[in-house]
Amino acid sequence: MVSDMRLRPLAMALCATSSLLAAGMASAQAVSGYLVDSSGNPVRSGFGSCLRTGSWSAAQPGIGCDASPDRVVLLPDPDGKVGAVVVRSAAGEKVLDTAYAGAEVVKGGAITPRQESAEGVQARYGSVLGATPPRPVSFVVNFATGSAAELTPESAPVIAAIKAELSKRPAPEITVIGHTDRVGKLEGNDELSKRRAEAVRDILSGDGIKAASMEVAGRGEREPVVATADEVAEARNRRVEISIR
Amino acid sequence: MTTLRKTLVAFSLTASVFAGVPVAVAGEVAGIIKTSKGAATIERAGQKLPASVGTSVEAKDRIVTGPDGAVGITLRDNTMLSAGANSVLDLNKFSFNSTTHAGVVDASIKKGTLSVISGKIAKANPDAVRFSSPSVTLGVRGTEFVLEAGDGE
Repeated sequence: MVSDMRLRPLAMALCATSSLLAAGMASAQAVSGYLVDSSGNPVRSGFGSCLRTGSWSAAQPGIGCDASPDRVVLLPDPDGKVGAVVVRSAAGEKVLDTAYAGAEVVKGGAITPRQESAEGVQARYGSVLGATPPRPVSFVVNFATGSAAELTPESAPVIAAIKAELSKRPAPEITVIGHTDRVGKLEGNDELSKRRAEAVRDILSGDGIKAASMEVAGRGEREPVVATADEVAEARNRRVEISIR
Repeated sequence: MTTLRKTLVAFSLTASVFAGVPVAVAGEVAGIIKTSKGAATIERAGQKLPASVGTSVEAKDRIVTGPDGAVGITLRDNTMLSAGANSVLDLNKFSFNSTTHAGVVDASIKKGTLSVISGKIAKANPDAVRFSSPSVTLGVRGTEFVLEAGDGE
């Protein structure tokens, strides 16, 4: 609060200075109580608010820039793929579905599209993006044929890789997720996949793997790696995934 | 049951209810803090906890960061949230079923900046995922984005 009080006169002084500067610019002109430049865009102070002229009054319709707007920017994932967001406000909605497509939304709800860039996003949001947790990774192990307790020999290096991954992460958590093929009923496969996951959890614990938490999940036949018709046996779908986040 | 017994049972029930009050009853874990920088706290049921790496986050928690603060959280469905400096982030609702991937994510950035990488719920059930700022509600279709709250309150 104290620093706030100290800052305020300074901020006001800065605003006054910048409005004087803006008023001094040959191209600047006043429209409906706000200072706009030669292309009609509002002139903003260093703090992002629009500069008012003497004819401004609280009763007149704003031009939507008294407060700095909310902003959205859609980002590509590391592979360059882009999803979509639907921006909804009091005034309408807009779909963003291309890389660095953005929008500004003012209090009244007006949505103004903006195309941002990788550089612009880094400059403005580098700090918040830098705080993003490491992305989860998954490892897959299979059981030796006919066994529900022993993993295939190929799974041995996976255990070492899991240990290496855990050592790199802050507060790492493990979810052991069992999957089945589509032979049998949905509920039965949920149960079976959970048991497989529990077996792998026990193997991991036995190998000295430790994490902030280790939970098990049974996804049953819901997430096949190879799509099949129902009741088709498919060994590749009978697997246990170890997801580390 | 004798009256004495009933009284004793009632007493011990009352005692256990009271005993539960000062120790914030552990709610269901929604996620864990993975990165933390500068001043950062979790506000939970009127208490302030340091938002340090490894701390659990629950539904209804508020994350508050200072001018040098930033916090990164991974939720149980792999949704990744980060709050930048001078931010107030509310995790309004979270639930996740690890078998069906049904669930709810609802978070609002009241002040400052939020970056999001959506998780398993957004993939299975996009309509159950909602992020908002004072003037915006975002529907998410499996994606990454930044949402910044202006000063429009």
